[in-house]
Amino acid sequence: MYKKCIECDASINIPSDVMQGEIISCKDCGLDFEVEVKSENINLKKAEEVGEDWGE
Amino acid sequence: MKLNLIYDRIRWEEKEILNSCSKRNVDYTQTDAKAILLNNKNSNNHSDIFYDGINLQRCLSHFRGYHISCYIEHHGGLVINNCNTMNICGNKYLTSSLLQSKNIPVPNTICAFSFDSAVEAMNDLNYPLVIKPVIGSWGRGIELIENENNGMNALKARKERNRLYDNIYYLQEFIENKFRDLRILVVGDEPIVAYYRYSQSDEWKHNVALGSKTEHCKITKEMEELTDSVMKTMGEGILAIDLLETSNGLVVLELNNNMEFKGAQMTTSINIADEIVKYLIKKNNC
Repeated sequence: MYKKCIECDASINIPSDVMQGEIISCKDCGLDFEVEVKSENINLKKAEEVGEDWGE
Repeated sequence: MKLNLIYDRIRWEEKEILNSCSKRNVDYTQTDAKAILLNNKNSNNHSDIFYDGINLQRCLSHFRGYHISCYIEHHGGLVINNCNTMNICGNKYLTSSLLQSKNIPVPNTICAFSFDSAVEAMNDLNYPLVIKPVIGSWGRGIELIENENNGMNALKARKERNRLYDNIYYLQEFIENKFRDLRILVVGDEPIVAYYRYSQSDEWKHNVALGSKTEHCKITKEMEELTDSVMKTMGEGILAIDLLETSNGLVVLELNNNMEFKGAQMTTSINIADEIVKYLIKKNNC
């Protein structure tokens, strides 16, 4: 499955085993997207930016 | 058993944990922390998700995860790691202070609470030294201070930034190392994997997030004893213990309560995600 990047319009390949909450990056512009799985539909929403308290 | 994975991003590690759940026929749910509402007027809202089984806290955002875990624990749920572990591990000074109080070796560390006292602390520690944010990860904001001039610039930058916690000055002796540090992964109270992290040639920090390479390390008696002391102090859970080698033995740099283990997995045939799931099954049956 392919989705369009909202930033640069490139095609983003969605792997068949993709999971809810996974991050997928646009290979052309580097923008990160979070995967939303709603019943049979897969949506991409712009991922949160890294926070100061993020990490291990 | 029912596992509830609380996340804000699904990383490689979370996928591995969920894959292991599937292989072991563990019933699991994924809860997106970003969508949770903790409404104190309706705490039964989450009863099925939070209280029917065991919760695994895997939020990348420390404070987001900590608040949710506290809520679950306060309302009688079981969450791994627990809130106390998250609170201690999430703050480098609390970690150093607690470990040192139990005679666990840590680097010489001074915590100062004003610009002037931080200057005094730098002179007490001598150079080179390291200044770190008390909250933070992946090596971000950690600076090597080689002389007083560097130190004054670093302190001034923090004063100007004036972010939350910037007036907590966590200063530590710089320990020379062989371009590597050592990490032990602990599941329950057992060290399951140890590995070296070798930094890139121009980098003195050893975080895998900064490109360090990993290499298997045999778990020694000293590591077992140190792990035992740390886990007796912290209580059981899922932790990564970061260590440096010194001429006087190992010292604990920090503890990580939300460990990433992709780099570690490359050094071992032990399935780390599966060890985590096996521990959660055991814990849930207790």
